[in-house]
Amino acid sequence: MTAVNGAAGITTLPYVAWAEPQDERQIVVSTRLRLARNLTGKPFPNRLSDAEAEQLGREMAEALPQGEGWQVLRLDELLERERGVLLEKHLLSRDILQHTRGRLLAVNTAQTLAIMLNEEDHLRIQAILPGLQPEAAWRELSALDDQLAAKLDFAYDGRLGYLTACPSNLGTGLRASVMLHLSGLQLLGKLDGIFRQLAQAGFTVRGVYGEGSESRGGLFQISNQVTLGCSEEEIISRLRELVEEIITQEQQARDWLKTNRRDWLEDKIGRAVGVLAGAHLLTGKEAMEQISWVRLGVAMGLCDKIDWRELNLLMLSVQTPFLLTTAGRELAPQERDALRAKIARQYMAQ
Amino acid sequence: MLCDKCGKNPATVYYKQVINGELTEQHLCEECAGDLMNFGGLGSFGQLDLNKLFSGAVQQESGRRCPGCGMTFAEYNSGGRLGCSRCYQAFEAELRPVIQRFHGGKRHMGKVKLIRPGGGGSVFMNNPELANQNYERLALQKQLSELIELEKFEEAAKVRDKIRALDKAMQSAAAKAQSDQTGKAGDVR
Repeated sequence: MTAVNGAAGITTLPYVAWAEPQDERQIVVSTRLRLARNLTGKPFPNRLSDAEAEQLGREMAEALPQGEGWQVLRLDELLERERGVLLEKHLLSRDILQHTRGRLLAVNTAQTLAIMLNEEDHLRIQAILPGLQPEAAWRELSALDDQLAAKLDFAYDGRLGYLTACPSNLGTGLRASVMLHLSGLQLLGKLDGIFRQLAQAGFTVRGVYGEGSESRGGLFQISNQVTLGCSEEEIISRLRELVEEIITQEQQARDWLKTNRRDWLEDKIGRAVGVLAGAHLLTGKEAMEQISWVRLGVAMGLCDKIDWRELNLLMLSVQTPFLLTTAGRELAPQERDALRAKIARQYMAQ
Repeated sequence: MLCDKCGKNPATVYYKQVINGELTEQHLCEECAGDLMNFGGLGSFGQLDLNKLFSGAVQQESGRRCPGCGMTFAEYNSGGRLGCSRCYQAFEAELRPVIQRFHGGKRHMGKVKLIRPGGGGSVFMNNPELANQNYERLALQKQLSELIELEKFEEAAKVRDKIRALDKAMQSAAAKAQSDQTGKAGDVR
């Protein structure tokens, strides 16, 4: 399999499948499911030399389903900003970027399926879809898992399930997560209580970029913690139940704000639109904050200057790796802020 | 039997000592056993450096390597990642509490790995139902021997019944597979 780096704009353009509108409630951004799989009889990636990792990576890439337009990217051959773009698109993890020799990323044409090769586990297979679609994502993911399992011998134990480099992923190897925009609950200071309840239910809350990252733009990721002792369907239906409950609470928070703080809310949203449409210098942090206000406005029917899809693409476009890609060179901090503001103005003027 | 120590009096005390995994056994008379308890045995044991004894045991434990990748459990403890899938067997006892802490000591309930088509041409070939049951049986067998080892016979009997039921199910599934692909041999034991 030949590696075609950057074809079809995977590592350059802000387009991703999960940017599409899917749920009219406009609270859930995306659903991402991943499976951890390893090969029988091979040391886990952390015990492989670079040469061994490269060899094994090639062998695993051979097992990709044929004729489905898979692109295989060698991470060590990508520019740093291209790797950053893939991270912003949630097609790869921060961890795999710590050591890129012998590390590969396979992505399908639709950018809904991605396989990290030689991350913590030999294979990290993921499906990412817009909105709240854990069942559909599982169907796609499980089918891809089956296709790979027909060619690769996955390490498995009848009692422990799929064997993983870290025992925290044992069993199903499934981490199911949903990214939500919870600015209503955030504004009312209700998040801590909800996150505590989630923890009791065996689910964790993280920022947008996974483990150890903080929240930006009012976006949070909720995912299961326990992977052993329950079926994939149980994990998925439990996740859906919890997310539906949180959506209801977020809607109640928004209704309360609309009823009791309407002027204040419309002022915040209107000012955010003003900043994005008129600013000439915009830091990354401020851009995310203003985008969060506009997102709330769009979802609540209080802003029609931009739609959900464009807002997602704007959010991606103002991230540093995309700015560097647009400029085609390194940028000083103030140059970045100027370009970020320019892109925001263009999006808001459409 | 005469006392192992003095060789004069009849041995009435069986004295067993395990230090660092090394077992010493002695059959002693009451007099010699008393000596050992007071001076050579408990007395000196009381003065042993317990820390040394403990760290010695740990060192011995952490020195053991996974036959698959050569990793030690100490390396896992410092890095948090195992070296290969065989580590789960090699460090089963050490990992059990770790897995219990993460997942609450349950067994796998999710997707079952299918036995690869063409892998030996067994009756499991292209028969996911039978392959799943086979994995289930392997797991139950393992569970059964563990329970017997722990002398939990009541639970063991339940597992044994499950295995018997599974055997029946597998036999009928195998018979069905056989009639489906006529002429192909497929005897499931």
